[in-house]
Amino acid sequence: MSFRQYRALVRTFLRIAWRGPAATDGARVRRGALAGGFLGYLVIGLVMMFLAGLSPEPRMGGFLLQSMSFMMVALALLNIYGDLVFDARDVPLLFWRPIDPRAYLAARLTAIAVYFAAVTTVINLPGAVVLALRFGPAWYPAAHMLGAFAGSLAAILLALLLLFVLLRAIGRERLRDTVAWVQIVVTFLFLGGNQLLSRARFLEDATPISLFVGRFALLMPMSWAAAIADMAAGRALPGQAEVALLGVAVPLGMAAILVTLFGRTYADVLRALGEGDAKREKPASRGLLRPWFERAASGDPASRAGFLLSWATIRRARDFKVRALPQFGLPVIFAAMTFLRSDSSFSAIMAVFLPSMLALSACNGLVCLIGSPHADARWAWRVAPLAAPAPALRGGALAVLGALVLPVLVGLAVLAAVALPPLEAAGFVALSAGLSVAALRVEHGWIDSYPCSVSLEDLRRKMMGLEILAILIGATVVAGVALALRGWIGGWGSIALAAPLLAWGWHGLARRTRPRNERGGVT
Amino acid sequence: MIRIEGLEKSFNRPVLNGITLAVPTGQVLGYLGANGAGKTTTIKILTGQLKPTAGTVTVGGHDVSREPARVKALIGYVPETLAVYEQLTPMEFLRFVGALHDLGDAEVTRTATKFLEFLDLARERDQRMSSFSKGMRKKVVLASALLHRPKVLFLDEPLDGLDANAVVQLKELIRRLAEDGVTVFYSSHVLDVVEKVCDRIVILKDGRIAADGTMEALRAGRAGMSLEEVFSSLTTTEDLKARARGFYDGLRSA
Repeated sequence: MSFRQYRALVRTFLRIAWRGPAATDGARVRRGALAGGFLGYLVIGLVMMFLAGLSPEPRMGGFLLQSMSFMMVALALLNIYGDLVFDARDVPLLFWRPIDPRAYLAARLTAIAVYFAAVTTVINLPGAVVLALRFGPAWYPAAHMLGAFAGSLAAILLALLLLFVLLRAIGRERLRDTVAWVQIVVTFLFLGGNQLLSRARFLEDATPISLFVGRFALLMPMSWAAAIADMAAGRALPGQAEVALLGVAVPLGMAAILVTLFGRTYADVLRALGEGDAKREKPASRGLLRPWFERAASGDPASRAGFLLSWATIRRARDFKVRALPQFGLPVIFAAMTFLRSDSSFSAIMAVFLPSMLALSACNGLVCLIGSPHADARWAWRVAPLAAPAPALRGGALAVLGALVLPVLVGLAVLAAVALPPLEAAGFVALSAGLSVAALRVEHGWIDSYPCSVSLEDLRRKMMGLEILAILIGATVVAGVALALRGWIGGWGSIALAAPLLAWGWHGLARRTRPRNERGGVT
Repeated sequence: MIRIEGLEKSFNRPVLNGITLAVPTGQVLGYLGANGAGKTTTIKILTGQLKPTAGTVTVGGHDVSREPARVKALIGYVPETLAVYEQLTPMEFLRFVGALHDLGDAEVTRTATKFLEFLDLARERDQRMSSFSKGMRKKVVLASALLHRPKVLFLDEPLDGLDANAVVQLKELIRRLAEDGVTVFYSSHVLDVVEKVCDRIVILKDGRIAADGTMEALRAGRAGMSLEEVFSSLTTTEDLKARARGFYDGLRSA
């Protein structure tokens, strides 16, 4: 292996990762994006330090730290992992140069490991130090960090392994999409595993499903991290020694498998990035529900244009899929976890949150759409003689409903039908639908209230703040009122509350826009 | 220097259909064709980024499929896309490229500085490329392709985004490189530049070579035609001007 190439590649990859995404914000260049991200991680680390200080016993404190750490690793996995593993720019810039594929693979893995080590350190270390000061032993922070790092390394290697296996199984033509889906799946596995682990560790029921869940949770990196930390602190539960061993062995084993089986073919896989993009013809599917939603959006030309662009963007743009789809998948994951634990107080709290989470996800979907990097076609909007952005965004909102919200609602309905009595299930799904549609209408109204001189990027930033929070709180209150009464009263109550919300929201989104020529063109 | 025999490449449909071509050392070959004719695909195969479906390709006597590392040590490539690592400065990027080609750091810094001065980027040498215009990025990519003194240079739309002064400089640079024995494989749609810079011109149509020869040879039997007119006569049977007029008249009447 060429170590000079390896050093140059690692230095460059880390430099690129540290300086953050290359996105430009209009004419201005966003700088230090990742440095800002790490400041955010540090804030989380300090909050976790505070919680570790309040923790009544060390295992609880350690578990909280690991949970938050893995949650952040999962989100980082989702957002930047693809760019760390495969940078499409490498194909035209690097792959025609005489690069040793093993040096390239080693450099990519090193850069990923360093990045995730930095994330886990910033989040875990302050809290681990506090736990050591309170409960000892002195080497607890080092053991805790080892556990956290082993767990996150296992996750990132698992993602890479899964990707390579998939690429061998299904071919390399859809490499980018495959990377996106692996990111999504591994992130869900992480978040779902976190939920499973909390059940395995802190609920001591012995139902068959609980035992199954508990055994499954032992395979999650969170279990390994906790076991390594507990072992080092001399607080291990029975069986945790084997789990800790797993935590050390699995990352090492996976790294060995990756290098042995896939190291030499890595360059070929990467070459597929170029090949996949080169000439592959991509027939565009229309989607079963499209005609119905398109009719709803056809009130005026701008709305129809917004719908057509948004529907295509949602269904075909990889970046949008990666950023927005998980937001819609999370309610389904939380629903599955919630319904599995329908006998606990946690279940009631989560059941209240779920409809509002879906409503929030719907709004975020619209926001992602506006700020999507794939909105490169926005020049078309800027030169179009539109009086106001509202009609175009109304079309976008309808596309979000048809292509994203509806499939998730179907998933929620299936889960609810399995886990809840019929009337409660119907009420739950109706409320989720009503809140989502109503929230989209509210969000749309807010966007429309901004003057047209506000750019789409500014709109996106503004909407990420208080407005989203207001929707979340409002939706939670409504869901809480409706679901507070369980049983048939709650079911009928939810349906009764959902129906007007649904009608009001849909009417607002589907109606024809009044001309607003006094407001100037879209910027 | 470059030898292509029976080259075929298919994706969902055939893109290259049996290209056979030899480019001697020091020749500047203009590689032309309509959109989708297979120009970039050919260059990607020659630079080891794509595998051919059939046929053999050698550069500098080395088979691209069997000895990619040897081929890659010989070549320089300016891709059609303007991908750069925007987070890096031009100097950082060029030093990185130098390390990949195993050049000494002092040598790279010295050569990179000369390139940046030549391309009017000296003032921007320590600015991140995220703020660069299309033309400025192209200049950095050009410098990175020439930094290690390649024996074969592949240029895919190298003038895209460059200002008029840079075009003049690049044309002269290409001629000097060819005089020094560098083989240049030049793909472009800017036909008047191709006409002035290239020793020989190959025109692709539907993945096959429709014409191959010097400008004079291509003009034989087409007295007074420009390369643009020769290109049109070889790649389409339609009267393009008449077609455009007909289209516009149709629009007006609709």
